[in-house]
Amino acid sequence: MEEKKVLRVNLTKGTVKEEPINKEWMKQYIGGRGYATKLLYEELKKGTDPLSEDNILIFANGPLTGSSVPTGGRYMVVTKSPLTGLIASSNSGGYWGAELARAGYMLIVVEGKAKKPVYLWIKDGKAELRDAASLWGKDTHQTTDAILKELGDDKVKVACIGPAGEKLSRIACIINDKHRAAGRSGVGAVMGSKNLKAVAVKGSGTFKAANPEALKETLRAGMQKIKENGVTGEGLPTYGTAVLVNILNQLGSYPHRNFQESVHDEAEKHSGERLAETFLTGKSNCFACPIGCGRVTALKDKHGEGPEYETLWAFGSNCGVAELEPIIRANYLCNELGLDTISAGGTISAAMELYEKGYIKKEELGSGPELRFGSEEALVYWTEKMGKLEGLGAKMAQGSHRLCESYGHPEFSITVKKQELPAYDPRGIQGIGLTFAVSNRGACHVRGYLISPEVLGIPEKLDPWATEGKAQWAKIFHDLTAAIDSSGMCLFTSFALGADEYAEMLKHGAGLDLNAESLLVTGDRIWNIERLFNLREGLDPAKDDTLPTRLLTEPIPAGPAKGKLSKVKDIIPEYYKLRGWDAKGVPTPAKLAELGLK
Amino acid sequence: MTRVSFFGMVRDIIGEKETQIAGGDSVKSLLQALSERYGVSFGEKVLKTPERDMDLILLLNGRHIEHVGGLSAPVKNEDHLTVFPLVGGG
Ligand code: SF4
Repeated sequence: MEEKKVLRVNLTKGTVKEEPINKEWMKQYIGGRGYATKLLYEELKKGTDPLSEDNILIFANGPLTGSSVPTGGRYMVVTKSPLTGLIASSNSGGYWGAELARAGYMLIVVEGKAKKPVYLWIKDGKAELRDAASLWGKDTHQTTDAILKELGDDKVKVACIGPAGEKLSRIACIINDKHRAAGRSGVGAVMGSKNLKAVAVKGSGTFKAANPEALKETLRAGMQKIKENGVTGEGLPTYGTAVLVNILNQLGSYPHRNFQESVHDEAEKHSGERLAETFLTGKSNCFACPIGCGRVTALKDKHGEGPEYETLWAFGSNCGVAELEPIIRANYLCNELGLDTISAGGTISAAMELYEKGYIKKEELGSGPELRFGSEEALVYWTEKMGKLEGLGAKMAQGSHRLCESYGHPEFSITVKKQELPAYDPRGIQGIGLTFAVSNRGACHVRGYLISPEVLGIPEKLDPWATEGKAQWAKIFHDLTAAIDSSGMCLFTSFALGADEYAEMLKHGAGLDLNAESLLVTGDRIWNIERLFNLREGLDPAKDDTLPTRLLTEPIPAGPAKGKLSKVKDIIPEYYKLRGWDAKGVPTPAKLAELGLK
Repeated sequence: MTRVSFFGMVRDIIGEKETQIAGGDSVKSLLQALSERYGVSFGEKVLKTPERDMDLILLLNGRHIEHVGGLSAPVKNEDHLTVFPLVGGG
């Protein structure tokens, strides 16, 4: 197959054109997250309103997306986030990215704003914009089905937004293959602001490895490691991510009721074990994935995929809801309406606290159920209202930060850089708290999954309560993850694979001259260019690289981690230093020179 | 009697969610007592080796045993041991 290209789409002008891939950037940033961030950094004007036509939306494959490397089907969406005002960089699996690669492209760069709703249709090196007036208002499943019907081909892969993205919810996601989400930081709203409803792709190309023989050998060894590893070979395939519910709850670091507590007595009811006994009907994989952590589920009247661990927690424990059924229903709603489940759960949870403390008034609920912790009815109802931006739901759809600010109580928003925290209590797990605090895209667990050493003991067991050594671990995890996200592979492979293996795959697969060491340097470069982007957009490290006040001042009230507070402020100076940043969190000129960043 | 809870496939293998067991004053002796009670299913399928299989996550009162003394960590009557298979996710 011919070399892949960049597709540049200008929605204002209604043009599509091809560009070659910048080889130098590939060497420096690999592809995916790294390459797209470099492009955004070079092209986006400082201070651009994320929801204006001047923002740039990038869909970015890694060089290994669409190849036979294990989990080689991932893509990223990179843009300026309407939630955080900083870099947005959301990863998704499924089959869409691989299809884009087969159609001949590594990146789609979307500029401008269409006058009327459109969708982009790409087939084997040809692209066109098509009218999407009839799709506007449809949910992601209806949209996908309608596009497949219109194109007369049910093998076409679709990434699209639902009503939440159309109506510019700052926590809207992009859904591909109906069930997979580029979830975080409001990337769906950027798509909506451009009047771009969907991107449909079909391709028939095949992947051409730089060194097929050597790649084969690397793959054989890598596959064996994945199969033999307890997590990737057994734990994830058997239970998916949901099995974490009981572990985190038993550790007493499973946030409950908007982080007011950290043990949920009824967590077992929405655990992975219970899911397997009740609503689980099957498993699913992303492209080329030997792990297959996806869960297929069904309710009486609906079926779908998920919920994943994060979602079980966000709608379950964090909203005080015990039972699976309403959680599954809220999860399906998010996938259909196009909302990020972590931010949606975090926002409902914050709204429940605002309501119970008397700040949201009963009159504001209209005919909706009271926003009380534990209310299954409220969970489902308000998820739908948020996804459709109706009534109070419209306010909630802007995320918990803006919601809580509007009531004069920002302290109830459990966010970093305005993005809701994932499912781990940083008071009881110190290292993951550091990742939440310094992550370039706001609170995020997949920028450096320190849960792996701190809870699971991979690659070695670290004490979750200790702060020593965590800065060093975080830096390595952050750099490695940045490289994996740029390759087109899934982060879950890192339970089994190390920097050596990724470097080999990129070398033999994509012809990039990398080894373990230079791969980590590349990750470091990517992390730093994200940081430079954020600083240019006004990031204030002193104010923004931290955790919500609750986690610094209100100890966990009960359970195994009783009395614990996050000590992230003690770890950050060391982290900055290890990164080669000054005490204010700004990369030093020497560090930038070392990485070849001006 | 010490309370022991099982999760994930450990639960499937031995067919119980929770039990009370006597005869352990350390994590190690508790595991031995469990092996005696559940026989082959616990000893071979869960523990796999007589010492301890690295594929388990053992929490004593919500703390990973690594941080409270490992296999020789003392166990009291009112303690709670949770046995998880090695799992992961995010
Ligand atoms: S491990 Fe799970 S999320 Fe990752 S590629 Fe495989 S199925 Fe998709």
